[in-house]
Amino acid sequence: MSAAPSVRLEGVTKSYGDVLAVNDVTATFGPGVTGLLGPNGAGKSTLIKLVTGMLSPSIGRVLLCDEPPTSSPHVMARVGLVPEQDPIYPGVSAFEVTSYLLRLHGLDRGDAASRARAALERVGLAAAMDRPVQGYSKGMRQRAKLAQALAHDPDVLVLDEPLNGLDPVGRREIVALVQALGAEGRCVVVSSHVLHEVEAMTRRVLLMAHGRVIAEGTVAEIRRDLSDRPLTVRVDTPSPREVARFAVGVEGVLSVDLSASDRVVVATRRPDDLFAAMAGAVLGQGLPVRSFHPTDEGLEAVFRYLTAGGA
Amino acid sequence: MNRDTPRLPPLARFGVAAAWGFARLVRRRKFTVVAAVALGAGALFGWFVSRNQDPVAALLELLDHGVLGTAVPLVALGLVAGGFGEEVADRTLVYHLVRPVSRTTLFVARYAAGAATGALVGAAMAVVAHVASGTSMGVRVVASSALVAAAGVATVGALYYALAALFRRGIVAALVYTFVVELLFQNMPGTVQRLALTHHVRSLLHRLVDDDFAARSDAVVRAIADRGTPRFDPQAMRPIVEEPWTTLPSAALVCAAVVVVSLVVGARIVTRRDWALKE
Repeated sequence: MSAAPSVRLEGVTKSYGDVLAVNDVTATFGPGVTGLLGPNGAGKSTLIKLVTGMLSPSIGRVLLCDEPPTSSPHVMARVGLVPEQDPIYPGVSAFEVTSYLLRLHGLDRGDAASRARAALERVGLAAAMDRPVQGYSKGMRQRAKLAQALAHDPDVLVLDEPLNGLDPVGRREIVALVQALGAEGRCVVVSSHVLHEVEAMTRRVLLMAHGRVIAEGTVAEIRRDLSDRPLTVRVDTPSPREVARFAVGVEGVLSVDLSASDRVVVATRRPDDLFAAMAGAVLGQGLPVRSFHPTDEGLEAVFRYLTAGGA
Repeated sequence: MNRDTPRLPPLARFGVAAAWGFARLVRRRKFTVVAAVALGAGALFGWFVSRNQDPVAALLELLDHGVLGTAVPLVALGLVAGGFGEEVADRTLVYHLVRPVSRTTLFVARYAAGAATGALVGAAMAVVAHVASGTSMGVRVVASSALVAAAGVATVGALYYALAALFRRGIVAALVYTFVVELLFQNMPGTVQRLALTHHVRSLLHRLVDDDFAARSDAVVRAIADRGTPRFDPQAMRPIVEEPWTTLPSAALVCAAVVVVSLVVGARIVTRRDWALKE
């Protein structure tokens, strides 16, 4: 029997001239769903191309089910990829493309047709499968890409931003599908730059920034590691000085920026305490606050913090 | 789930990939345009030939310079050269790279699809030129002309296809080769002319049909006799010697070698290349 579904990267570096797209990454993706998270330009797509054999590592090695993907085309029988871009054959239907790609796996015409139909039905494209893909919406194209990745029943699935362009119902369906695929024991790697999308699919994540892996583990573990990260909160107010006076008295506040005439920017290590105190002061003491919201709780800010030396 | 991943025999699933490439190419607008222009030109110039005082000699000139010298490279450029590049441009190559098919197979299959399509157009053009000329050269001559045109597209196309794999702007490289390098070689004195690929393609035609044309035209007889004899070219203002045509086996061997070497070199490049495939 061949190797269990897994992806292994050992000291992998990929450079384009002077640019290091992936820098000394060592990681293993086993059965189940693993989220590959990072802001745009973090190196996720390059990592995916290394894993699927489109790129060769400059240093280190990549093993897909224990074989190097660039020199072992036969191992690709075990892989399904949803690429980030939208590859389109003009005038060709999703059914035709999926059937053809299945035939590249050695299936005869009849088997390929029936499996293509089943895969397209599974992703919710039963009604549109015979229409040309170029007329599809973004969400439908995403489903078509998923169908071609699933149709040959792969062990390893690599999904690059699979929820792009999907409506909320579509997202729910695809999230459930990804969870089910992981539960079946397949190695599923899902790349995204949206934290909550990945959280919906898995607890296990690998964070990347500037080509490096900056954290890995469960979402809870990484959140714990980040609990000391200062958060900045913007408070819109007609009386910045009054709000600033109040804010400096709240525990955990590190600094207050008063440079604008209609707002205050507060840096705090304990944002929950600040939010609670401010809400109480607005209601109880009539503190003149129009609105307040964190300015940097997105993933980008987390990465900025981690790569600035906080990790 | 797939647990068995047997190693692939050489060129496994070549037929599937080639058939898909062929089907895709003949459904593209550029095929319709190239085919229409080629057949239209064949008919038009064939009609001009029919009005010539010596239509037999004029037809041979048309097949030699018009079809093999000009149309064949253009058809190869339009239908063969960009085959693999289209998968890159359409961003569909990514689907192939994650299949159990070697890159060599994909590369050769796309060439085969383009070459078959281009060969059909080249052969049809030669047949249309024959018919429109009204010369009734006989089935053997018409079939030979069509076969050489098809072989020409496949040969020149293989070279262009490799150039497209080798250079980022492969089509530009192919154009430079056709209209600079080839012309330079063709106009050089003596054996240097043999460095021009089209010299060998044209040799195939002349070795196959010259006798039939000579039997019906004195001008063709004179042209055959003149080849290899020094004469003054009033346009170039210098004496020239047209290199004798390569023998049929040699010409066929050169064409086959060009196809094989082009595909081997191109496949090697494609196999080793990184495919970042950015948007």
